[in-house]
Amino acid sequence: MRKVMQYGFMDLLRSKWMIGYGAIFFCITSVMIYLIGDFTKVIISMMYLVLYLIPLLSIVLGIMYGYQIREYIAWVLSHPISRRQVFMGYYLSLALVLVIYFAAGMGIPFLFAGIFSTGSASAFGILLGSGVVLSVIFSGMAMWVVFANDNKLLGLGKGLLIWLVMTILYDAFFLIAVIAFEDYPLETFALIASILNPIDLSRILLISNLDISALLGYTGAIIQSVLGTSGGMVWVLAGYIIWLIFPLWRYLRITSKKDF
Amino acid sequence: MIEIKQLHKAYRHRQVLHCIDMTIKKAGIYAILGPNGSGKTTLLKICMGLVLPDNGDVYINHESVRASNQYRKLVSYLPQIARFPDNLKVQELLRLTELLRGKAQRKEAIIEMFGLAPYLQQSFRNLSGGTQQKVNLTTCLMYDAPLFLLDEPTAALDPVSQLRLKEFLLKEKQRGKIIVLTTHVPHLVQTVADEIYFLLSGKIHFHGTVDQLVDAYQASDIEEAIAKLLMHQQEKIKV
Repeated sequence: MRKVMQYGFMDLLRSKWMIGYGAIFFCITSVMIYLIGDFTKVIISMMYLVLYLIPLLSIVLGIMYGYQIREYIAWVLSHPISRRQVFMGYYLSLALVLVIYFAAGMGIPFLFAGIFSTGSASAFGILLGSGVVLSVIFSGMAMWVVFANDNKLLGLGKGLLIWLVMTILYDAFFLIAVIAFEDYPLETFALIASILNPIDLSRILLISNLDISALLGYTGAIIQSVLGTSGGMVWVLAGYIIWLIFPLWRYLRITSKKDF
Repeated sequence: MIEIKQLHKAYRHRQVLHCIDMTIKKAGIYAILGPNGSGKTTLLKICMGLVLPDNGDVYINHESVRASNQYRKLVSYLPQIARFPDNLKVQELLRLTELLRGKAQRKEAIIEMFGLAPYLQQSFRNLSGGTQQKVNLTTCLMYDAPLFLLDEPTAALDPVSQLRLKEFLLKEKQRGKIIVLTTHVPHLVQTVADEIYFLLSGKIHFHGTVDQLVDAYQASDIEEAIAKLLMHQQEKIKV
């Protein structure tokens, strides 16, 4: 696995798309720090970038990379190495490169601006952490989509649909549900629904740690009122673990039975 | 060395291989022939564990290809279409191959045979189709394995490289290797193949030497024999 990962990593690290991905975060973060100045406000603004841009770019770049490796995967698999090791190697190299470019792109401007000498260091840490987790989750989803769909366009379309459902349609659906069932208790439903969306989990994690409860949203408010702050954190972490494992499990299962 | 038993494979509803039995034990060059879609590539891919059979099994050196992947150390496989990571340089790809498979015994000799030295520092995206095929061949032939499975080895090669490859294969045969290849080039089959397996609609339609095939269809060479075989088959279908 280490061997595949090493070369997948090298290949991706030099990819212009990935360098562009890092550059986007670097430019936006630098401009925001320069224009806004106040770290708390910058972190709140960056939160939306982390919540919406990381899932979108991770899944799109991951799908593009996945279809590229599909073209020569048969050659790799013809060597004395197990399928599981090959596919884990590619998944880990994708996740690692996305994490590195995100962390470097967003982290370097904050470091130069002296984030660690201010009171916002922990909020920055949580922002960085949730960005890392989202990168890894959506890398897994991208690889799952790629090997579940032989048609490139269909795969890319499904990837974009996943992003659209989790970012926009999920909130719209919730709003409709709350209005339609306002006379019924929705706590259990909201708790379960929050775990179905890793982006919502990240939003809950970030907002409850940034002291801006007004932005918490319906599921976040229910989690905080039902489970409390620490219970809510356990809930979010449990959700993260499910989302880290489930796409990876599907991806490894599909690739173990697929003809190449 | 290779034993194929009762092999069946269907892609969705299309039967690609139907009850294939084949045993190759002696050193030599074995050509798998057949029209497009007859199952040649699928057969080689099953031998390498890339395609999973619906029924039956392949044994290489008495080891089932479903059971482990270590038998692949004994096999050098050439895939039909050479696609490699675009950002990797040729040198890095050869190093990756050695990392995956172990040190190659004759890397320099094969690089020299195909004149690849000037391309070693170039990225894949900058190489022509023919040069990519030479790199593909190098990753396969640089290992002194007892068994070679070559899927269309002469595709996209210039005449000089084709000649060198042919000489190389004959030399390897003399060294006791088993070489199984698929090709659409009748001339290559006529000059190098010891035995032919002709696949038609996923079944072995003919198995024998080149002379036996030529005699069976009263042809002057293998090209004519294959053409007659296919025409005969088409007439049978019409009737």
